[in-house]
Amino acid sequence: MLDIPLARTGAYVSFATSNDENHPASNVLDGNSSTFWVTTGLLPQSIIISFPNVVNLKKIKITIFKVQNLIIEKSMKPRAKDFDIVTEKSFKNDNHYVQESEIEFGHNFQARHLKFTISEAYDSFVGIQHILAVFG
Amino acid sequence: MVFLRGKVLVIGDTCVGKSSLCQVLSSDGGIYPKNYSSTIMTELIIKQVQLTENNDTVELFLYDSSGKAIYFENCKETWLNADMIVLVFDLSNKESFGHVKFWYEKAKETFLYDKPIIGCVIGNKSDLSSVVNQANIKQMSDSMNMKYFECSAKENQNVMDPFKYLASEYVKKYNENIKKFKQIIE
Amino acid sequence: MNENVKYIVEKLNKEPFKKNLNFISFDNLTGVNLLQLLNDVFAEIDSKQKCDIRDEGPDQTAIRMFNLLKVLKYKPQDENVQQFRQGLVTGDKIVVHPIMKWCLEKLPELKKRAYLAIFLVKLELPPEFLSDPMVYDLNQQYENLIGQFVESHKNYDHLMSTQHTTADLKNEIEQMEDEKEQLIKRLERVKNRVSGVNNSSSMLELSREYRLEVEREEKINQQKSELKGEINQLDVKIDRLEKVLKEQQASYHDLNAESIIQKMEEENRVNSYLANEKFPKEIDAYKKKLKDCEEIGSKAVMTQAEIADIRKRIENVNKEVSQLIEKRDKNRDLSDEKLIMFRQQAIIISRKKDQLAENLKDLRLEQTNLEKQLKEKGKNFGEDGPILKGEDFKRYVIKLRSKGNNYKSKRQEIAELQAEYVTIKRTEEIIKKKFDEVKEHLPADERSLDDDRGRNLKDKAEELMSKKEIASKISSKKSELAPILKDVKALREAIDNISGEYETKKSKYDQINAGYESNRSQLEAEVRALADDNRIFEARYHYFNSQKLIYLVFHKRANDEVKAYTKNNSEKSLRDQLNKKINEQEVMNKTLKDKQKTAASVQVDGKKQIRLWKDLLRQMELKRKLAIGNTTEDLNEAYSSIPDDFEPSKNR
Repeated sequence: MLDIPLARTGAYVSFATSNDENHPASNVLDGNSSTFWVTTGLLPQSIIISFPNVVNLKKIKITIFKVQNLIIEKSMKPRAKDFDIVTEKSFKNDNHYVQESEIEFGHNFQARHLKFTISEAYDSFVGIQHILAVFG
Repeated sequence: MVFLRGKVLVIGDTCVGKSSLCQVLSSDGGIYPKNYSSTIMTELIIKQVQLTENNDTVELFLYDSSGKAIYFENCKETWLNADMIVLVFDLSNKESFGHVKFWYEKAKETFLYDKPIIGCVIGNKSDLSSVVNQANIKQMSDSMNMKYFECSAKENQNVMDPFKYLASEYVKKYNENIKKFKQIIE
Repeated sequence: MNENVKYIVEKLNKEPFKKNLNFISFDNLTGVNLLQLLNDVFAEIDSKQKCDIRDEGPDQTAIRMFNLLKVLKYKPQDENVQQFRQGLVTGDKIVVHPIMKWCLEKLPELKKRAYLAIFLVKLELPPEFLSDPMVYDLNQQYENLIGQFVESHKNYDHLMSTQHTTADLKNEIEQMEDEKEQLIKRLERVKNRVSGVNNSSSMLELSREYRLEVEREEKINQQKSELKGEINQLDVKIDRLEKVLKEQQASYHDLNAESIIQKMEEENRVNSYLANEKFPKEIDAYKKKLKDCEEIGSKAVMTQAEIADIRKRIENVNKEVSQLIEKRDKNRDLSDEKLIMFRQQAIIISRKKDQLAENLKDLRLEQTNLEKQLKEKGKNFGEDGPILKGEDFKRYVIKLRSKGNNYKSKRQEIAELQAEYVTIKRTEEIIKKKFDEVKEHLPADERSLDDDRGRNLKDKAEELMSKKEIASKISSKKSELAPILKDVKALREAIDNISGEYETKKSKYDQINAGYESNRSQLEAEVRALADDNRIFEARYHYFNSQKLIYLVFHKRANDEVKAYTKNNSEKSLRDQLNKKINEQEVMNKTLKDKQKTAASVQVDGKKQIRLWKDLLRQMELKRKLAIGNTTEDLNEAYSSIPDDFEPSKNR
């Protein structure tokens, strides 16, 4: 189930704080290992993934680079408003490898939008390779 | 063509000309504050710098911090997650030059980790007679691994150069980062 | 005479006489033979004259001939009628040859005359007979008929002279008949068309009137243009005449009697001078010359010695003349200079006068000559209408030139056509000859060589065979091609269908494409707008974030301040700190101000004192120097030697 790129399930990036034409935010959903999204400086940076309707999520796997602190929020509203914090994750500095992380949600975890905010980073520019989700 | 944003700390002793430098920058030489008005804590000034090669633009978020002791603690809190540093001293004030190192150390403390800092040292008030020894300046800037610029906010001389340098360094860093990231993925 | 003979013989050898004479035989003809020949010529002119003169008596022939000659209006060369008659009767060469030549020259004319003479003979009736009404009537009728005959003869001549052959006339008639038919058809058509229209008769009337009006308009326009042309010409004429008038007027600037009289007097003077002085002088000179020439002429011969003598005498006389002139010049007083001058001037003027008179004479001669020439030429061309001058003359010359060129070109054409005609005729003859030859030869070929015929038949048969083979081949190939052609036709039809479909589909595609393009451009614009908005929002997001951080710190500071107040810890609160600093600064300010004041006052006093001290020093110096005893100059020096910043030397 983790192999399905989220883009095929109808999910889309509804908001991103950095837009470089060569590395757009939609790269996180295409499941392509060679594409990634990169921030263009300044912190905090966030990215919101929206689903066409409320979905049940079991867990999420993210591959990121140079991120120190990541905050994940969700929203059930049709428009991306009123986010509730789900969890916060911190990572170690690693210059040679991507940081991978799996976040498991409890039962009946429903969300319409997921917001990922990078609040602290080890460098001016951070990158997210992909965000994969398992629906439950 | 990339569009980047960077947080720049403009720090130095009081009355070296940090605020006038920032104002001259943002108004492109139009406004120079003749009367001294002490900066209260920190002021945010945004300046877009266009680089001619590849048509890159870097938006510099200049945090013009007060040099007064009473504000020092508070200003430090605004220095979180800075991308670049600009250390300013007054060429006609030897003391201000001596304190450059001090400011540098303080700024470094705010960095959560060791990362190579992009920065430069600016000697302001070049229209007045300089009392600082050039050799000393060179020595110090080399020790911090920073480039040195002399400018005059009053005469609007050489004001853009340090910031253009910062912008180009920033773009380089960005491109290197992307390359690194690509390498790691593969 | 010989020319006459030549001519006569030539003519006689040609048709219709064909006498086959030569010069000698003709010359030898005399008497009756000659008369017979003459009679033959007359017979040619008038067929009634044809007869053999030997049958009739000489008198009769003579009378006949005379009558004929009278009718033909022959004028003998010499006046002597008797001699002429005699010569004619005898058949004298001298008389007969000219007659013959004359007749042969004017043969066609004389024929005509002879023919007409019969009809146009006016009877001369004595008045007694004329009084008779019947005779008179008959005479009138006869004269009328003569008149009619003349008219009809003229018409006949005219028709004969116009070179219309019957064929041409027929063609013309046919053409005209065709045209007539066409016109009738057209008329019918128009009538049909017109009959459908209401008020056709009135419309026709109106159209007729309109047509008449149009024709009238054309005429009027023509007249107008003609009149305009005439007006132009007259204008030109007017200009010319005005010019002439002006000249005339200029030449006679005053028409008063006085000026005329003056001119006349001048002319008179000139003429009198010429008459009284010049011409007599010339006359005398010529007379003298004449005398000398007569003398010399009357003298027999002049020997050389006499000529030398005369020359010597001439030299001597010249020498004496020159001596006398010298003497005369010497004898003149110096005070007669003026007279000399005047005399010299008078000589010069008289010489000039003579020259001018000569010129005048020459010019007058020329004038008379030219006038004569002009009159002569005017006489010559006075018959041909007005004498053309200037521009008209130029135009006339141009017209003439163009017509000359035209004429030359047309003449060339005629020459070429004639040459062509000759060659074509020649070729026609040649071809005819050949054709005749071939015709003759053909029967010859057919008669001989039956073997050849057999061989020819075989060859012909073979030819036929090969022809048949070719024909069969052709038919086979045609049959081969037939199905292919059918296929081609079918394919062509298919092509047409498909191209039609293609056209429709293409148009559809174009429509859709256009729609798609417009949509796409719309979408692109939208996308661009949205991207711009996105960028703006992004920038605002980051800006607000950054600003938020600063404000948070502010906020925190404010909170700390509040806490500091509540805790009543005067050290920490910013306000207290600031206040403290302000106070410090104010204190410093005060002290510094006081210092400044004191320093200022001190400075003023100090300066004054310095000045006073310096003046004192100067005084002392001066006194010292005075005591030593120096001049005022040195004293000045001494005064100025103490500068304002003088400091007294310490070692004194």
